[in-house]
Amino acid sequence: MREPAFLVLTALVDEPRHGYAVIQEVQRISDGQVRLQAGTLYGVLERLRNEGLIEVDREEVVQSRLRRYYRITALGATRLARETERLRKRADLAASRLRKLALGGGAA
Amino acid sequence: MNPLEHRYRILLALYPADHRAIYQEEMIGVLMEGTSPGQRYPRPREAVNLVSAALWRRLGGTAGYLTDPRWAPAAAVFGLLGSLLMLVAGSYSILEYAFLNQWMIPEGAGPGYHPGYGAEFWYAVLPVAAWVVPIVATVVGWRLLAATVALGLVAWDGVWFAWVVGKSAAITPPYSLVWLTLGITTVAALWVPTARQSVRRQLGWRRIGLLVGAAGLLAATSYLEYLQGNYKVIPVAGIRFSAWSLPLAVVAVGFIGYVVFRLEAGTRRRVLALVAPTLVLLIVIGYDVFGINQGWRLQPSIADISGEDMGVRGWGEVVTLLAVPLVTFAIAVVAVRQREHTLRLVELGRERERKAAADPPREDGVPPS
Repeated sequence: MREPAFLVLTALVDEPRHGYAVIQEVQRISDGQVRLQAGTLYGVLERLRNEGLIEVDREEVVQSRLRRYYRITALGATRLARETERLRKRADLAASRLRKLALGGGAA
Repeated sequence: MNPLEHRYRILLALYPADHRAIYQEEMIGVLMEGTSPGQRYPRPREAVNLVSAALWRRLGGTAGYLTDPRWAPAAAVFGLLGSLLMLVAGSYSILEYAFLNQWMIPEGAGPGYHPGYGAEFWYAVLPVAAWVVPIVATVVGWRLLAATVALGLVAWDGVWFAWVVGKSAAITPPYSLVWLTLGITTVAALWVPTARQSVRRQLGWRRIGLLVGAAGLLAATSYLEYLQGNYKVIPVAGIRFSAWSLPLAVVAVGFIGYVVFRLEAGTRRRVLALVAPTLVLLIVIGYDVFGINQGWRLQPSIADISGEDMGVRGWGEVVTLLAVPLVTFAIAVVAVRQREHTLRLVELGRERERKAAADPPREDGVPPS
């Protein structure tokens, strides 16, 4: 799973969000490091929908414009949990090696 | 409609109609929400992103599908398999020189006479033995070395081919294209970035040994044929086997089939998609599909059609042969995608059934929260 898809799924875990709210939430949870562009966002949303990882929650019209809210599916939550576990193992491994490096006096 | 929205719509028009029908109005809403006061034009980064995303979408899911990470392990396995088969192909030519040339000794020649090896042996046949390097490097985990040497070998083959054509205006038989297709596919697979020691982790030493054994058996088939001399020919896909060599080849293919079958399903499907171009081309030529052996100028047994005699028809045949592997690979990729799309839908359906079973609707008809 690539970073944009991971972040979009994470942004949808706590509540359904519409496109612009997803962009803002991704920016917030990435500490401002990732600002998704509309083209990238809708590429990811379309793929996640096709894979059944997210689905449309509801549609609204706000100021004459369509707003579509997306929510994560059970399959999406499972896939996100699996990916999180995979990343955690890698991070733990990296942290453990860095600790050994620091203990050995190799760290700058 | 304000001018900025109009400009966004122009950019969104680059998307295919099916995408626009679902997402255009929603995307306009998102884009307009992100604008700054007084902004009249899309930001450059935004415009580049929309154009590239639209073009990528237009290329279709198939092109995008090739970036699926599951191709990497398949490419690693195919890189080893392809390199082994290229070495087998080379071993046929080397054995031909080693044994056949002995039969060409003229009467009256003294002991120790050897007809000698021509330029073809030194420049075209012997270098094929260097496929040992990609094989070893792939197993050890030095992917870049494997990819570089394999690329050099296939490029050198191309240079030699061009030199032969330029020198004698001869076209090599279509069977050369089968090996060329395998070589190019192998090089492409070896250049795909993979996890370190991907082959060893996926196959383990036992199955790597089976693949090497299969390659050894295939190489032995030609050795047996040269030893036997007069043998009953059993043609399979245009390749001549004897009663001795055919069982060996069947066992070898069985070993390869077993190794591929034991791969993870997604990897297995992709390995088969990578094998398909070479296999289909072999069948097209060997079983005379399109009447290649009957009415074509490029018959497998003819290696000396002059360039002038080729004509439009001859070059059309070349283009057809070149198109077969490309079209086959495209069809194989689409087939893999369709199969996995179906499997995903099945998984989705089962997930819903599990959820419904775990959380059944209440008797008063009110769905659970």
